[in-house]
Amino acid sequence: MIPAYDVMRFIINVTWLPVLLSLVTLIWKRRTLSLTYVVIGVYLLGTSLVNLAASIFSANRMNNLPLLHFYTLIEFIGWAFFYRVVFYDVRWIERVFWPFLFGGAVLIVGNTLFLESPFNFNSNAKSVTQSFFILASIYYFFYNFGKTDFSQPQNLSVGLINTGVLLYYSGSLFIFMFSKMLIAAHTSREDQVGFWLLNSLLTLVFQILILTSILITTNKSSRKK
Amino acid sequence: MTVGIGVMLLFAVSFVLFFLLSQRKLHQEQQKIQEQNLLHQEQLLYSTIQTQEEERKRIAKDLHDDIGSKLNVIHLGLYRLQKHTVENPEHELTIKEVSEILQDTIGATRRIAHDLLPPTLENFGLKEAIRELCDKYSRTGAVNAHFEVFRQSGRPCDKNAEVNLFRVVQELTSNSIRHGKAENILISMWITDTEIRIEFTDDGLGFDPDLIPQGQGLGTQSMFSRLKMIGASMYYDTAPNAGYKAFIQYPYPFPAL
Repeated sequence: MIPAYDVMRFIINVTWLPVLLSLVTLIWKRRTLSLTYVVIGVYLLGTSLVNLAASIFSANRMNNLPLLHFYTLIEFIGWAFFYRVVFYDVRWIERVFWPFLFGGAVLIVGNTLFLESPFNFNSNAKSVTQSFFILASIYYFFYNFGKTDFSQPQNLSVGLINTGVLLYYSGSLFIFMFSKMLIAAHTSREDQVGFWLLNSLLTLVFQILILTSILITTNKSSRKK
Repeated sequence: MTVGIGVMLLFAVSFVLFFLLSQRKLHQEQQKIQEQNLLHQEQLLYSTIQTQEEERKRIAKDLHDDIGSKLNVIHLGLYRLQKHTVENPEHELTIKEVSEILQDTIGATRRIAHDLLPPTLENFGLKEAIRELCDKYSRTGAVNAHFEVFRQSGRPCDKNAEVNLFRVVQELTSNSIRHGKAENILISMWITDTEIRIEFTDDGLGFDPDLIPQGQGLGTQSMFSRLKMIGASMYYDTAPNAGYKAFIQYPYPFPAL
């Protein structure tokens, strides 16, 4: 039987494939992209670079958790902008966006500086930001219920990303919430690997959904041209 | 922790599924309502067309049988009065003038009655009515209209279908003259045991079908509704400065015995 850790490593490596495909497609079709996908492109590029750095750190047996703190900040800004663009016509979001973004960023940085060491898991910040992503994706579904025709490619593509956000962050919320606790409780690596395997599986599904969404939207733009 | 992850994942999956299913159900209901509205509008349009035809028929009949015949009686009376009038040039001139106006009125009444419902259509059918329409337009000099019948079948056609097909040809001709500024119109007709086919061609200005989509104008909308009502179809071919061509096909609702 293949060890769970190897399966997880394999999934993490495979996940690079949809990420790279997404990035290549977005760069290739950059002239026809809507603002939503420009945001997704910048987000993917930023998070991929941090992930790459984390992999290098990990390969060199260095603590890569400071990168997770930085990743949380990029992730928060990326999805905040994504939902700002998606809800471009919602007045109250327009009003609260900048204070919310600034406040959120200050909390994430403040958490790293004063509450959770950059060399440990930032469970507080992660839990709060992930809860925000879950709420935003649920609000997206409520907001579009009965109003949006998801058989239209442009709506379907955004709907797929939103589904990915809901699935991934719902699944991984508890993993990050308790990751600090697991380390503190000296839980063995073997006992923890199951959770990280699930997290990597969810990441793969999420990235496949993002890629599908990008392919749908870029295919639609090419046909329109 | 495992329970928490499981619950959250289950929540996310069921939320998405619930959303998709509810959304689909809602869309189906909305589509159903839309279809019903469309059907209702269509039925309303059909009944409007039918009422319009019935009213035209009634007015034409009243004009011809009632007002027309009474005007003829007045004309006859006037003629008799003219004969019995003592020689008074002033009276004679007045009677002559009234008689001329009356004759014009009788002519106008007959023309209006004919336009409302051509008696040729009632008495001799679609083919002769279209022939008469072409002759009428050619005589006025508005356009050079030709009509040719390629195949004929003795099978009688439904009167309602004939009236609607005639109205469509009438509208096409009128559009060619008014909007297309056509000089020549050719109407070809095929009457077989199973269908009636009409090909309408003009050498007018034509138009860009992408800019003026099918069925946008009221007249065009009415044409398509009339054809749909009798189970006929029409498609057209046109381009700027390339004339206009319309193909009408009316399949008989049931095969000939």
